[in-house]
Amino acid sequence: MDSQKLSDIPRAINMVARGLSGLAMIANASGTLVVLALVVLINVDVVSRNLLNAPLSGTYEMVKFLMVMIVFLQLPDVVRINRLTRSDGFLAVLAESKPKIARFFARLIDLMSAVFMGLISYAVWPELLRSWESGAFFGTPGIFTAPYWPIHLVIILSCALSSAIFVTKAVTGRRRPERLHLEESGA
Amino acid sequence: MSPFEIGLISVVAMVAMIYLGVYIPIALGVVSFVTIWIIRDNFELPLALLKVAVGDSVTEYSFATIPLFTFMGLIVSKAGLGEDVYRVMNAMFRKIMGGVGMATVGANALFAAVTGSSIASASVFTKVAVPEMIKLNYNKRFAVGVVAGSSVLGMIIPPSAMLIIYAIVAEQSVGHMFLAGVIPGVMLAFAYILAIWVMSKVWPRFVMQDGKMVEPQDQEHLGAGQMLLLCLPLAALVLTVLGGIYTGWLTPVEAGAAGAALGLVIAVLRGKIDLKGFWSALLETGHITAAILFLITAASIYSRMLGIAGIPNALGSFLETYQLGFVGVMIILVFLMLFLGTLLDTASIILIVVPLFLPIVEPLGVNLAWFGIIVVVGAEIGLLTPPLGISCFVIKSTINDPSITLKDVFMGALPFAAVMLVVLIILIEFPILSTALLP
Repeated sequence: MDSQKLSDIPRAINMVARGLSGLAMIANASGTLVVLALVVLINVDVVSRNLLNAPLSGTYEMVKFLMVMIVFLQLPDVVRINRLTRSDGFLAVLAESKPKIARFFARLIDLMSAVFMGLISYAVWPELLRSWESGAFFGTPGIFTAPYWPIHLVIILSCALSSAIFVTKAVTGRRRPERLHLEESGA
Repeated sequence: MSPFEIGLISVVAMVAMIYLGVYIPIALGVVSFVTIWIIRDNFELPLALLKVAVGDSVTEYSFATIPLFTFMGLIVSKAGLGEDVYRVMNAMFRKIMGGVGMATVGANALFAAVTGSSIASASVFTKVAVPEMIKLNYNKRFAVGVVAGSSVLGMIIPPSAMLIIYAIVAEQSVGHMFLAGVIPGVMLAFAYILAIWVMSKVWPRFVMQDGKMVEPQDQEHLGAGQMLLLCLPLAALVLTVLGGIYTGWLTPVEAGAAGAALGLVIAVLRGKIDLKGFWSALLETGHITAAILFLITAASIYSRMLGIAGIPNALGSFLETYQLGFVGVMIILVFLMLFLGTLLDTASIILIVVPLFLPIVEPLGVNLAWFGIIVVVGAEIGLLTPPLGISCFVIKSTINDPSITLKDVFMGALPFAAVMLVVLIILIEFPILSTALLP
């Protein structure tokens, strides 16, 4: 009975990890659509302003809003596929001689990252309550306004999901340091 | 302990954590958070700063340049513009010894004017230029070294992701940074071509196997009209993007969007892109944007921490007491960047170094666009130096030839890193090279 429970735990963790990955991928796909929206929006603005002499109102504010969406909808997926910028030369070298220590380090790093991402969610939480209750908005009244709360909500959910993905990485330790290689950071 | 001492320890701790393999934004954020907490003995303050940094860093209009130019770069790579300019350059230079190398540099410089990333350049030109050079009996190390060295041009010649990142942290105009990068980038390209010419005269064995040249057999003849036609799409893109910014007709954000749209039209007209390729370019853009902007967010917490600990002020008065002056600051800066360059990527170096040095150089009355060029070029040298040169890694993984080791790539890139250092010194000595085009 006890041994059966023990084998249930890794299975449960696996399921959670897969579920979180699924969420990250959904967020990622919606974030990808937002990138497309950004390209389209600015081009429509440039064309309508220069050719039709009719600038879109609120483009400036919309761009800012879309940027938040792009970054925080993609962030959990960036964490999931290990594309967050890091310099892992040392870990890779260590893994060749002392694989256990290297893996321990890698888990520790993921755990610390989980705590930090959680802190961001925790820090922004009061902001969400405030912007939700007060109905604060950005933009110029009469031209274009949008409420602040969706921005805060996306940041909190994104960082919480990233934190959870880091936790599963730390728990399963599935990522092998010896197979790490430097992922590009857009550089 | 004074705040200054705590701050200094935390900078060292941060660099150590990064070397150990902690994600760079996490290292920047965690260390800064804990440092502010210790200095002020207050948990609410770092929490409030974290909140402000996350909210503010992302909601900035000019940040939209990052996804737009990234997307444009990915699309034009798929559209095959790099291969086209390479064909043109090759037809011009092929008969000279080291000519394919020169053609690679020239093509890279032109291609760089439509992409902002060295990674894109490195992977495109590894595929087209390296096999050709090996076929023509070039030294393997030289072949991969040229591609590695010239890929750096992608990040200096505008539009460049690194110039954007500097503009953001230093609160400079993205458009001005782009204009400042034109002359230094072109200069570096010519310096490379000159270096290849000199190498083929004094050290032919490094350029060619056995030091002899093989006459190319299947000479491709391109007429002037054909060359012009091949360069036309690229010229249209450069004219739209840089011309638009230079004349003030487009903001950098709009220029990025227009360039992306135009690049997409070119790719579609040539049948080089399908829906799947389009989606993967968008996906890649999103990933890169999120990674870079999260890094920028963390760096803004770090720069606030430095301010609270009073590090830039203390560093400034330290330099004053020892009478190091401007030259001393520059020497320290260059050495620090070369040191960090051994293990960090360019964006991280810029984000770590700029908040430290900006408060020091600003009172000296220097032009901040010029300072940006110095930082970007200095940080780029790290792309070519072992143990961790990202360009070299990309080339190694693209090339798929076990007879060329990572060491070969690094050894081949070394002369080009040296050329970069010389160019960097010239740029430091003559700020006018960076500021001439500024309005």
